[in-house]
Amino acid sequence: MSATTSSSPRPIFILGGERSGSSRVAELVRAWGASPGPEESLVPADTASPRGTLEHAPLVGLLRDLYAAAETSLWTPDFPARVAALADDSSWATRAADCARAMAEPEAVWFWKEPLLGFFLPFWQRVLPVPPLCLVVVRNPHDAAHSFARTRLPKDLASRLRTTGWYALGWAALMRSVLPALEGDSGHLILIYEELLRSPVVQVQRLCRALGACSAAAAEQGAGRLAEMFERLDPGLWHSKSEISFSDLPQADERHKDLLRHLHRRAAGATEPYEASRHAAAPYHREWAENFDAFRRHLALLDSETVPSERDRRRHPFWPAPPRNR
Amino acid sequence: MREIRPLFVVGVECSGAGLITRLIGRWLGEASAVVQPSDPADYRAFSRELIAAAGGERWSPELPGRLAELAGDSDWRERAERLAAPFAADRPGARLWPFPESGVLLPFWQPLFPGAVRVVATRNPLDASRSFLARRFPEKLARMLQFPAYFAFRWQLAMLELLSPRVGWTGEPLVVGFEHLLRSPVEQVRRLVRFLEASTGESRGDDAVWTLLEEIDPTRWHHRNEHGFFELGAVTSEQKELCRHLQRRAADTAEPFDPDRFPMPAYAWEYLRNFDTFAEQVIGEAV
Repeated sequence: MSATTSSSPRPIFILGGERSGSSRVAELVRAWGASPGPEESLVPADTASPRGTLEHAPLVGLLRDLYAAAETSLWTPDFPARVAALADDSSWATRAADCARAMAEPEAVWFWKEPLLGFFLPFWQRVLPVPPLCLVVVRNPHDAAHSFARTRLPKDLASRLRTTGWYALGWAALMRSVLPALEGDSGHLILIYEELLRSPVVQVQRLCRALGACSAAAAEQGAGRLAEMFERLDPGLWHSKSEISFSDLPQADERHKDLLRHLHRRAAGATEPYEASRHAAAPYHREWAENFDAFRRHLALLDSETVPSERDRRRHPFWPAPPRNR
Repeated sequence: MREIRPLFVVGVECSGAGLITRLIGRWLGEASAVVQPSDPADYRAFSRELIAAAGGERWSPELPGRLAELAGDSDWRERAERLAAPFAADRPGARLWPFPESGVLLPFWQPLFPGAVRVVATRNPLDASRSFLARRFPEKLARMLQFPAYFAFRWQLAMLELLSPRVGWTGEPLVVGFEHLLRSPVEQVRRLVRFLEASTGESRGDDAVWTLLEEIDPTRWHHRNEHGFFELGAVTSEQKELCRHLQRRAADTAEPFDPDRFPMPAYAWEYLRNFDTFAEQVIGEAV
């Protein structure tokens, strides 16, 4: 059932919420020399991501099916454990291995990038014979939320809604799944999106050093591609840029500010463990997140102007109606 | 405006304010004592304008302060007094105002009526949310959505607004529990009557209690799940504590209200605003 042999290069997982800059990092990783999978398997570009998202469509389908099999909401605290337990089921393990095997030639480095992939990290850590090298992309949640509203919601709704809280709660849930799974994994890298655009040379070099752990051959090849990587960083594409830092936002949750500071310190080199107890889920988050999705589904059915983009249409079945008995 | 004394019946939706209004209306005994501020449509239009002038957001932590500022503005005050003219029309004394909008606009109206008597209707928020859901939302939408946390935010915000000590308020409000009224109607009606007599200086005699009791129909106790709220995972521990506090107050325990014990959670206003925006988009009118 192994997707690769134990001497195979480490696959790369790019983990970050929607509109967090993970597509930009995916472009850098591709420029470095890793493969996003066969071109025909990629989710097509759309108006929200005109340069493409480099997301592997079969992975999106597999995650959707895993989600259904986990039989609990993505927003429950036990979701990571539930989805990790599916790795004990040989049919899921085989399907997962097939999905990974289809990514590239055996000795090539490949990567996956998908906004929800982090929720499934505990599963993949158990089924892949070589642990993934994880790149955690972090952006000011207020800016990411603004970008989400601008690109993913109809204009009339985007102007009336506030998305910072909704986004930050989802982002914190993602981090609750990702960060504990990375405890003890010294190879992972935390990239701050704003730093990437502000100090591209330093940050791309950091990225190259981390990617070098995938395989010696790829590291040598990637080192010669720095110029190509820099070309991917166009500061002109830095939209939804806050005038105010997240820490100074009066409406933001202190726990989320604390989490963001923690990630910034780690990105700056601090070795600091993630303390889950300091970042417990807000009790109302699940209701909020599921209602938000339910409204979006409902409106997409009612109003032609809110029909989702092609990418959202593909992901649409990924969000089944939440269980009614809770 | 100051010679009359309105009785504000306030509370979050589906919390028994209607029943309490009928009880007080009976106690007052005269149809003329139960007045709405001018025409209800005019009042609604005025409320919309008022919220727009206060920044346009019904769910904003800044709204109470902005409303209080508008109450000091002579133009707004003049318009409000015209709207509330029926209160001063015939004779001094108690008038009942079944206060709409869950008390959201109270910071504006309160300075006009510093001596207003407040009766706060409370009910287990989970049960109230189920009644609200059934009354207010199309079935398809109601099946699709979850409400406990949303309604708990609405309820918590209203209770903080209605019970927090404010400069200018006189007297403590009476907290009346819907469940208490239906479970112990005689005891609770006596309690309400005692409060009304003490607040207005008017007495109707003991017979009034029995007249009021005719209004209470325990078969209308729908969506009854009194303990469910405390088992909900979607509400905060502070909200559960607030519910316990209100239950104690409704059982006639004297206990001061300390708003710092029940802080609104982060992003609560955002959730309320977004929920209402989405719902309005779906059902075509404001929630």
